[in-house]
Amino acid sequence: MDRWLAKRSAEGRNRVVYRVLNLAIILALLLFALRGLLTTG
Amino acid sequence: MNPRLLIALYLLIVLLPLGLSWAGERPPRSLWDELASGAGMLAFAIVLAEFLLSGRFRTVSNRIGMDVTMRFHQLLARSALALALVHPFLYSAPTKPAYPWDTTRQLTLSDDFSAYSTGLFAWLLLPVLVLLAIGRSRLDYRYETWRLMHGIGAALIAGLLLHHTLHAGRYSQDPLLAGVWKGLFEIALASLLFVYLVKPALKRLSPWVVERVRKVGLKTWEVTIAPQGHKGLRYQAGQFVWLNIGHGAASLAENPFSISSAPASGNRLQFIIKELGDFTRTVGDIAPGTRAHVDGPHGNLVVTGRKEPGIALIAGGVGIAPLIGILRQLHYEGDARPTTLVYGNRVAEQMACREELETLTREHGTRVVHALYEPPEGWTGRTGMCDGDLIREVFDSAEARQWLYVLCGPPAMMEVVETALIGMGVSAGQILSERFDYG
Repeated sequence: MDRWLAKRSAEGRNRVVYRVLNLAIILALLLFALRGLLTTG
Repeated sequence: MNPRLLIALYLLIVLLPLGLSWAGERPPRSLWDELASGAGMLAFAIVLAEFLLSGRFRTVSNRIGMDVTMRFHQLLARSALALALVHPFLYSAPTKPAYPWDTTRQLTLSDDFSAYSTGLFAWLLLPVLVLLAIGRSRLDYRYETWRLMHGIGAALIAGLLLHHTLHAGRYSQDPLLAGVWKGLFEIALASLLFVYLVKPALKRLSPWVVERVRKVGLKTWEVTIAPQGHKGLRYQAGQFVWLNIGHGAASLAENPFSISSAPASGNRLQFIIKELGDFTRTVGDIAPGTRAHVDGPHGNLVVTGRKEPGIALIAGGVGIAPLIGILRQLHYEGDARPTTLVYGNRVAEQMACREELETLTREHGTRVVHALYEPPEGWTGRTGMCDGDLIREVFDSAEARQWLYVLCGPPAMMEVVETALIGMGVSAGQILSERFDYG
């Protein structure tokens, strides 16, 4: 990951981290919404 | 703060309400209702976290830079806006009084209009706040007017959202989650009060006075300020401050300027300021003795502690300000590493500190490469922009690929130079840059 980020510009790194944050937020939202199915099977 | 720790803390703050809702005792509802509530909670949590990403907190911004902090503030506001906008449209449950047997409100949404109305106001205000911020540079606002409006608008939206969340939110009926929302809101509000009230009070205790203003280039001035009744500022070469000259300590009329003096030179602060905006156009008229206030130091354009075998400084126009501060400090410290300064300007008259750079070449061995876009007759230096070709010509060697690169200049120049350096095999970790144009 570090080596991959090292080849990106400052704005490129910002964008990558922003997408990772968004992905984590959306994943958490989906898990929250689907927890009924996840916990009861 | 370590960037990884910052990201982890950020996610912890933003995801905490969702996690507490999950851990609570209320049973899940339909997928769409849960998506709606989750989106609303995430939007509110992101809005509250935005207060800490305002760029004025050194704990947050010193390692990653104020420009990166501000960039995340801008980007994450868009995420909050997207989540907030879809929030009301995802609900599928009917809005009506709770059924007597449905004590956890699994089947209906609250019909309390006052709780909805605050959410509706916030829902309408949030896009306005975000769009005004995105379009700030295109709107004819004074920066300080916009900043005040942005702060008040953000506090108003956060207050409306708190009321809406506590009164309409199903999960926020849980006392623990309600306490977390109130706690996060109070932290956000305290951060705003810290910036607008506490910091001005601290600045009032440590005033500065303008000692000298002298012209150092075409429309370019060097301003020297001296501490009044205190020891001055502890800073590192290359950092910047928010400088307010001629206004009260609580005034929002302040601008970010790089410190061009070296910490080793004493307790005076110097700035190289180019006439570009409302305030900077009047710099030449500032009289010695004028009161000044300083908020800082901020910024991570710092070479102290870096072990690279050489230091390259690449400046465009007034971007020379922090870089000459770094060169001065390296000279004071007797740092023996090779230094090269690439300094691009449009015309020769814009070159600041020309004689001092010649002295640094003689006494410190700094190699100075000037580039002029519109050179005068008989110019023997480089002609053209400070671009990738120039950077490859000056630095493309196995030895220089191990150096530290410090960039300051117009955003377009910095992007071109950064791309060229990364293309040459220089690691992004060896490149320090800080933008002052937050768009």
